[in-house]
Amino acid sequence: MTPNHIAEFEQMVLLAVLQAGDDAYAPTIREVLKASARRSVSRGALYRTFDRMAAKGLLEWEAEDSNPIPERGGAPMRRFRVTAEGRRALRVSREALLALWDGIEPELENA
Amino acid sequence: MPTAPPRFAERLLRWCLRSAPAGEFILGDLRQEYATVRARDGALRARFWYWGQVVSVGARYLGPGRKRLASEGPRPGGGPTGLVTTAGDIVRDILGVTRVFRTAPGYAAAVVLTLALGLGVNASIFGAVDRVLLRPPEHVQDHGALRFLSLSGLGPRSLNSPLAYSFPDYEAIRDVPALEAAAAYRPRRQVTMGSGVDARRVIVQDATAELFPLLGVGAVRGRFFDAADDRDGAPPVAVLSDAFWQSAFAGDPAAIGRTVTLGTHAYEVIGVAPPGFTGPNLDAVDLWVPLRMNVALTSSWGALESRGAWWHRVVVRLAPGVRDAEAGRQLTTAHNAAVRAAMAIGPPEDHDESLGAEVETGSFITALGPYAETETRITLWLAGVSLLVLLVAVANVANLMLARGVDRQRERAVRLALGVSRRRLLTGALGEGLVLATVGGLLALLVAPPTSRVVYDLLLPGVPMPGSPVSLRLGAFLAVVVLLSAGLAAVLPATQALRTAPGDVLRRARRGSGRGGTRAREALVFGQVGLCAVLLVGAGLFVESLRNALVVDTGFDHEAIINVEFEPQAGVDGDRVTELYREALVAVSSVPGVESAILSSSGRPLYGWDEMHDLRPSRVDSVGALPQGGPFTYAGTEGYVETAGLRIVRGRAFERDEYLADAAPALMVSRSFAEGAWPGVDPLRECVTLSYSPVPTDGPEPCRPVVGVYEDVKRSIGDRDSWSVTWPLPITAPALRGMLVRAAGDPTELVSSIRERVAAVSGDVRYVHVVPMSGRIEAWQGPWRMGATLFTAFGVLALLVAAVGVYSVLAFSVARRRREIGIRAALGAERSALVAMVVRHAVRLVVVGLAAGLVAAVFIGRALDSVLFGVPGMSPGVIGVVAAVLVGAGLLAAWLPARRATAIDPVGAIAAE
Repeated sequence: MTPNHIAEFEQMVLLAVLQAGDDAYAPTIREVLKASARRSVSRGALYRTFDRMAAKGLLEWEAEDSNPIPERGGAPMRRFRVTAEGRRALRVSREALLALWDGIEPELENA
Repeated sequence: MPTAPPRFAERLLRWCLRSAPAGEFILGDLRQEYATVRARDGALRARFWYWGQVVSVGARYLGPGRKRLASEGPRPGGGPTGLVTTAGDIVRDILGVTRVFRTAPGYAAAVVLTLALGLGVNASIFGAVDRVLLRPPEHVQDHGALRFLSLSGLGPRSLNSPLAYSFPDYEAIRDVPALEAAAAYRPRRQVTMGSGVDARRVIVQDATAELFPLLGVGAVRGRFFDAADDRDGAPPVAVLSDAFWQSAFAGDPAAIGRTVTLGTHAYEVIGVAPPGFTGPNLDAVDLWVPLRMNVALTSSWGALESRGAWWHRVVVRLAPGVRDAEAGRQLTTAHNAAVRAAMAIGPPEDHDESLGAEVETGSFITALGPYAETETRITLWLAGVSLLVLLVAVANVANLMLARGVDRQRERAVRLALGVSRRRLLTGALGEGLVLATVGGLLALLVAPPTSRVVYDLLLPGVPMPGSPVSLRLGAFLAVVVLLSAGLAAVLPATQALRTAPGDVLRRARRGSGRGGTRAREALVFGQVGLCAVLLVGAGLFVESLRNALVVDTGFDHEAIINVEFEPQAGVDGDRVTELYREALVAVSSVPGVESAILSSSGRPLYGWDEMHDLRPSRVDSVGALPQGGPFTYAGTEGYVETAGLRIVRGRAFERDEYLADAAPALMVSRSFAEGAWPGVDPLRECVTLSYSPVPTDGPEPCRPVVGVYEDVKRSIGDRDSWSVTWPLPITAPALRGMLVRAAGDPTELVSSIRERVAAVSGDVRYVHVVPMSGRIEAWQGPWRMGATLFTAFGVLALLVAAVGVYSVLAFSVARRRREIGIRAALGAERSALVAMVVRHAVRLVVVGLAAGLVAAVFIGRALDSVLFGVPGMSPGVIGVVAAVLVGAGLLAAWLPARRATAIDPVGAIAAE
C-alpha cells in the first residue's frame, strides 16, 4: 500500500471535513457522516481516526477560542482542515475508484 | 456552569485522555454535546449518555502504544502487544468488555437482567434490614455500651415480654456499679390531645430524666427535661418530636412555652427533639413526658411502687470495661436483694413473683437480641431470602458465562497462540463479569427507590424511614454485592479460560463436540433448583400460615362488631360518665345501619383488654392461675349475647327480664370454663360466685346459676381454651364504661356517623374511639400476610431464574448434540424418543437439585418454626407442592429445546460438519 492510499473510512472522514467547510468541528463532522453517509460512528473511533490521520499528515487542525460557546466551559475548539496531502490522497482514491467503476454500472443496474 | 457533565465522569475521562494529542478539545466537544443532550433528553439521560462516552472514548485512549500512534512514525519492530501486560491493558480489557453489548446483545441482556433482578431484590430490602439490624435508633451516641435489661426465670409473669420491667425493679438496679447510667421508660402510650373536633391521638413516651443523657441526645430547641421536672408534683412538661412539632405546630419556634393538653392535663412544651429521634426504639414518638411526674399526676394508685405494673423497659449504659456477664451478676444480686427486702416489710405476695429472677443484658439493637419482634424476625428471614435469590441469579449468570465461554474457546485459543498472556484472558473474564454486574447494579439502583419504600412500609409500618431510600449506604452495599457477585459468577468461566489448551481446542474446534464445562454448568443448575426449592418451601410455609391465620375462628361473630368508647373532659365524674353512655346508647341505636347496641362494664369488651375478677365455680375451691390468663369477665346490658355474637353451645342466652335490675341472678360460661371447672358434669346444674357485685345488692353475693355455655372467645391469635364468664347488666348499673355496636352491613361505613352522634351527646365528651373489631382481627394476620407476600414474590422470581437456567442448559446441550441427534434421527429414532431424551435430562436436572434443596428446606423449616402459625416446619403437603411446581417448571423449560431437537434435519445436521 502506497502512502497515498487511504482506507474507506478515512476517505469518508476527509470528505465529511470538506463538506462541513467552515464548520468542520468534530461534532459537526460526525453529524455529516451520519446524515450523508448513513454511518453512525462512535466518538471514540472518530477521535482515534483524527489522531491517526493527523499523524499521517492527511488532516490538520487549528485551535479556536471557544468563548462564544459557554457550554464548553472554556475548553478550546479545533477546526479541521484537509491538508494538501489529504486532498491528493482523495484525488488518487477517486481516480482509482472511477477507473475500476468504468463500464460496470450497467451490470449493477439489474442487481 | 449548571450544565457541566458529571464531575467524576469528566475527571475519569481526562485521566484516560492524559496522553491523547488533543484531550482538551475532546473534553470540550463532549461538554458541548452533553449540554445539547441534556437540553433534549433531561439531566438523567444526559448523565447516562456521558458515562457511555467516558467508556467509549476513554477505552480507546488507554494502554501502551497509544502515544506512539499519535506521535507519528510506524511502530518500531517488536513483539505483539499482548506480550506485555500493563495496568492500562487491564483497564482497557475491562472497558473493552463493553463491546459485548454490541457483539452479543442477547447474552448481555440476559446476564444484566438476571443480575439486576437479584441485586434489585437485595437493594429493595436493604433499607429495612439496615434500619433494624445495622443501625441504632437515630442520634443515639456510642450504642455499643447500651443494653436492654430483661428478666428471665419468672413465674406467671413470663406471660409478659421478658423486657417488661416494674418501676421498683428498675429502682433496685439503678445504682449498681457495673452501670454508668440506667433509665426506665414506657415505650408507647396512645393519648388523646386536645378535645372536641380538634382532638387527635398522639403517641407519648414516658421516660425518666436519665434517658436523654444516657442516649447522648440533646434537644435542638429548648431543652429536654431533667431530674427537677421528673418528680412527684413537678409542673407538667413535654418535649416534642421534630415531626410532631412540624405537623402540629407548623415548625413554629414559639411552640416552646405553649401548653398542650394530653388526656385531661395541660403540659408546657419545653423543647424539640432532633429530627428523626425516636427514643431507644424505632417506632415514631410524638411527645416525651417525665415518667415519675406523669405517673404521680395521672395515676390514682401507686403504680410506681407496684411490682405488678410491668409497663416499663429499662435501658442501661455499662460502665467502661464492664463485661455483660459481670453486669448480669451484679444486676441479678441487686434485684433479688431488693425483692427480699420488700417482702420482709410488705405483703410478700405482691413481690414473690419477682423473686429468683435472673437479670440479663441484651443488645441495644433488639433485632440482634433474643426478644426481637415477629416483624423484625421476618425481616431478617427475608434478608436471607433475598440473598438466596441473588445466589440463584449469580449461578445462572455463571452458567450463561460458561456457555458463552465454550463458544469462545476457539477465539481464546487463537489469542493464546498469538502470545496473549493467560492473565489477560483471566482479567477479560473477570472484567466481563464486573462490567455486566455493574450495569445490573445500576439498573437495580434505578428500581430501588420505589420498591424499597414499598418493602420498608410493608415490613416496618410505623417506623420512620431515615432519609431517602437511595443513600450512600445503599450505594456502598450494592457496590460490595456487585463485586462479590461478579467475582462469584466469573470464577468458573475464568478457570475455564485458564485451562484452555490452544492446540486441543483448535484441533477439535471444527467438530463441535467438546463437552466444555457441561458438568460445571449442570452443577450450577442443581444449585439453582436447590436454592429455589428452599425459597418455595419457605413461601409455602408462610402461605399455609396465612391461610391458617385467615380462617382462625375467633369463637364469636366478630365481623360486624364495633367498639365505641369515649374519653370524658377533665373533672367529669364516674356517675356522669355512665349517664353519658346511656345517652350515647340512645343516640347510636337510631343511627341507620345499626342493628343493635349495648353498654358494657369494660371499655372495649372482647378486644383483648378484658377484666379479670376472682370468682369461684361451685364444687371448686379456687380456680388458681391459668397458663393462658383469666378467667376473663364480660358483662353487658340487654342484648349483649346477641350483639357480641357469642355462639351458644349449650343451654340458652339471657332472657330479656334477666337484664332487669331486680332479676334473679344468671350467668353464662365459656366452653373451656365448663369443661375445666366441671369435667364430666352438666354445667347447667352448676353456679359461679363472683368476688364482687356488679349491681349493689343487700346481703352476700349469690352463687349465680349457669344458664348457658358459649364457644371460647379468642383474645389473641394463638389463644386457646380461654376461660371466661358473662353476666347480664341492667341499664341502671352504676359503672358502664363502653359500648358494643352490631352493624347490619359493613361496619366501617358507620364509623364516622357513630362518632358524630356520640360527640354530639354532650360537651363533656372529649374524644370518641370507634374501632371496628375486624381491623383488630386482620392485624393478627399481619406478620404472615407480609411473610407470605414477600416469600412468594421472591420465590417466584427465583423460580423464573432457575427455569431459565434449566432451559439454557438444555438448549445448549441440544445445540451441542445437533450432530448426534441428527444421526439418531437418520437411524430412525422416533420423535417421541428424542423428546424423551431431552425431558429425561430436564427431570434429572430438577430432581437432583430438588433433593438437595429439600434437605436444606427441612432444616430451614425447623428454624422458621417460631414464626409460623399452625404449620409444622416440615410440612409434607408444602414439600409435595414445591416438588410438583419445580418439576412442572423443568418440563416447561424443556419444551422449546425438545421441539428444537425434533426439528433437526438429519441430512443438514450431518452435512454441516
